Amino acid sequence: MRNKKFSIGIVLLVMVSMLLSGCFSGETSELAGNKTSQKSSDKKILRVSIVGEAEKLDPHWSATTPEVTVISSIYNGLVRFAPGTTDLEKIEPDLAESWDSNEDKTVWTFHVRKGVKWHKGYGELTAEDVKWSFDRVMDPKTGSPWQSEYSNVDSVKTDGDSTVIFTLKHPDNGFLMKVLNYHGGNIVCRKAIEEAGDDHMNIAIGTGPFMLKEYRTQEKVVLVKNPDYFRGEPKLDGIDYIMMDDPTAIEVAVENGELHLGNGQADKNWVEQKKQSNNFSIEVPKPKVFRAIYLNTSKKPFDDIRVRQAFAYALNASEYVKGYLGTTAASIPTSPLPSSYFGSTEVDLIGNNAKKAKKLLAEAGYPNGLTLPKQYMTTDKNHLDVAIWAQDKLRKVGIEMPIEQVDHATYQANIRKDLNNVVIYGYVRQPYLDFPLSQFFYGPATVGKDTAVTNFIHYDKVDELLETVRVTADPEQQKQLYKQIVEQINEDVVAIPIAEEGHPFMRRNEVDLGYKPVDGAFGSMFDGYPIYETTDIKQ
Amino acid sequence: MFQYTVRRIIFTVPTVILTVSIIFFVLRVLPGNPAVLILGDSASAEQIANLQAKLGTDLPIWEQYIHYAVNIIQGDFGNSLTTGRPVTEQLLSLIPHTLELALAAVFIGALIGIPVGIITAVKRNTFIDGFFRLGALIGISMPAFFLGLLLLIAFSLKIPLFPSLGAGKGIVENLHHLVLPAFSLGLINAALVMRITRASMLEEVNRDYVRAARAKGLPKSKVVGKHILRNTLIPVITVIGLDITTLISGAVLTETVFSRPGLGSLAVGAIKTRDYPTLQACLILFAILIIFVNLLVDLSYSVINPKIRAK
Repeated sequence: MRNKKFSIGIVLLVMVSMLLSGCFSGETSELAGNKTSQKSSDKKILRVSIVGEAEKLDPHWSATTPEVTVISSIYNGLVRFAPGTTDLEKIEPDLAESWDSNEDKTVWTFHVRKGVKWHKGYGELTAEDVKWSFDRVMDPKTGSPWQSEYSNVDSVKTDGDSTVIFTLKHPDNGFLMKVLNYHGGNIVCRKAIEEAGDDHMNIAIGTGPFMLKEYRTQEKVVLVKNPDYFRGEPKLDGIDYIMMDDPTAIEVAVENGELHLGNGQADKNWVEQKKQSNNFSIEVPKPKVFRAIYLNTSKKPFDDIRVRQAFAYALNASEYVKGYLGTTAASIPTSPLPSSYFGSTEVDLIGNNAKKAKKLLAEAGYPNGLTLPKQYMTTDKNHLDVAIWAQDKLRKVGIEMPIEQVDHATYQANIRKDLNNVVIYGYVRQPYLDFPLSQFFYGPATVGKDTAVTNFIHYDKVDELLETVRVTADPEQQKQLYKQIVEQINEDVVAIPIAEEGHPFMRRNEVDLGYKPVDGAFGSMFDGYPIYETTDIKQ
Repeated sequence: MFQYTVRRIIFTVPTVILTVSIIFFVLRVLPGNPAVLILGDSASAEQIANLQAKLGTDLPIWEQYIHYAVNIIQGDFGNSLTTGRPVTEQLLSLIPHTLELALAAVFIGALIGIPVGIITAVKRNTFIDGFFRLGALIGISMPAFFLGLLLLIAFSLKIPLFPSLGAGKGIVENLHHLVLPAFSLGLINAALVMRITRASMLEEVNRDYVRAARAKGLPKSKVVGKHILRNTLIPVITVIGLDITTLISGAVLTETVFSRPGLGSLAVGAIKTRDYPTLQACLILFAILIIFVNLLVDLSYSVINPKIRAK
């Protein structure tokens, strides 16, 4: 009898919980199985996985991949890459109808498109909104992580309702990169931000093809189409960005049609296996994540170039790319910096010569090999795989690299406290070499300084060249200077490139992106598909 | 009974205060800076320092503790460091999802585990006993997330009966979404409950009161159902209580496999981003729920066994 009562009690509690969760789960939910998917197919809702929470939907703060993925459909910049590319030659108007600059590239004038409406009745976009948006990013009080990207901007002024003029301190050929629909270049609505106050991270009022409808913690971000979008009404009715962490779950959901676009795995075998699927295709975003090992020159033994060279000779990036990642998604690096940015250049990298490595170690005073101090390493798979592979290769030439695994937050904190001799790091930046150079190889960006960014190697030997290239107006001259810089960095062996990793994605056959991926790759400034008004689901 | 309950509730107050304090200080000792994680890897040291000042994480720990304690007393858990959203709002939206999963799993565990435990004890050393004991051994040895993946592939991909992700809306859809995650946790719970039920039954079978009942000529079903089962239930309820407390905070992997929202996942996310207010609130809530469930378990003892009530 008691047992029966107990069971009834639990059943009642479950029912109450379900009732409550039903109440809290709001109106929209198309996350059901195939049947529900079909039921909701009258509405074209694109379902896309994002790995992790998209917590900050204010583009001047958004930094993580899920956040940048979601806001890419909500906001616009003054200019954008042509859909499906990240080609500097194919930058096209976005909120600016046209632009021009003076001869020495210090004054840039943008003519803002008329009749563009903010989401949810916030009125029309004006030049004043654009000015306010950039002033906001540049204001230290805002605390935007993208503030330093605008340190060359002297002033932003308006001329009438539709002209914005940027005056720079120095010439900048790559200034269009700063006004792209990416990070600080996204234009936010002054009225909405001011109204929101402390809630500015969550309102997401933009001018893009999709509008924020609902944010469900740990579940999904629901976007609906913006019928007033200035390029025309989107073909999709909405996008559900679904937060998922488990790779198998994502795969199952794409296979059975619960997801249209899903994150794949950066693994050779996985890619080869999934390429056979009849339901979806495998594609990778470009530019790829550039991953390298950085050697801290301020600490022994890496203050000695011979040890750095020995370290580099012990490794063979080609083996890592071919053996672990596969060449469908990843490519073998050709420089200590990314290969497809403006200013990129190929150099002769050293590596894969154990004999030379041992000889150099002996010359440096380590005839019997050396043991590095314990290196903190994040448990993030992309980093850890490289660390474990490198550990094995280094051991073969007599370098022991003990690793202590810590969570990613601790790793980020420790490398900024200069606790590691060896830092493994991966990044994607705007495809202009100044961005990674300024962050990883520029003296003022050295960790420990007030202006620190990610110069973990305490490197300042290209500072002068970097400052020169920034004020050089001629693109050809710039390319020559970048070549010198890259060659110098390569000669100093402070960064050992490991891979240019493309993180594969699965796209179901019924999804028409509205642009054509070339050779299985699509242009994206973030690890994900840009979704435009032209994106569609074929019935 | 009433006095006992009130006394137990009063005792929970210092426990909660102590838990809150320990949680606060342990989190501050952890390496990792929320400002770095919020701003991303391109932020300068100056920007990081500015944000720390804004978040108040640059203040001395004791000062942060006083602010925190005062706010907690006023029922304010603060805002998430990463989203700026009120933590209480986040918790309220996730508690039902967590509770429904935990309770459904416990229900499945009890529904399968108790009867099977009784059958295996009654049919001791028969083929049926051996079969279910082997099943229980596999169940106990199998991680819930692995069973979850098997169920996902079997019943969402190969035989597409259930959705693979999300929590659904409304009771029917909710139930539809709940089936696979609840079974992946519930089947493993059932294995444990079955073993405890069987062991307890076997302990009771040879007691004097059972012999007396049999000697009275009571049918076997009455001896088992009325006399033995009642005394068997105390350890079973203890295990179920422990299961509930574990599932409230520890169903993270199952939540991840089925992409379900839940408090466990919220807490893990908050650890990754060093979102102190969210993490503190989650841990405090876990502590309170665990204390509450333990209290219910204790009270249920006295309901099941009047001797305990008398003591």
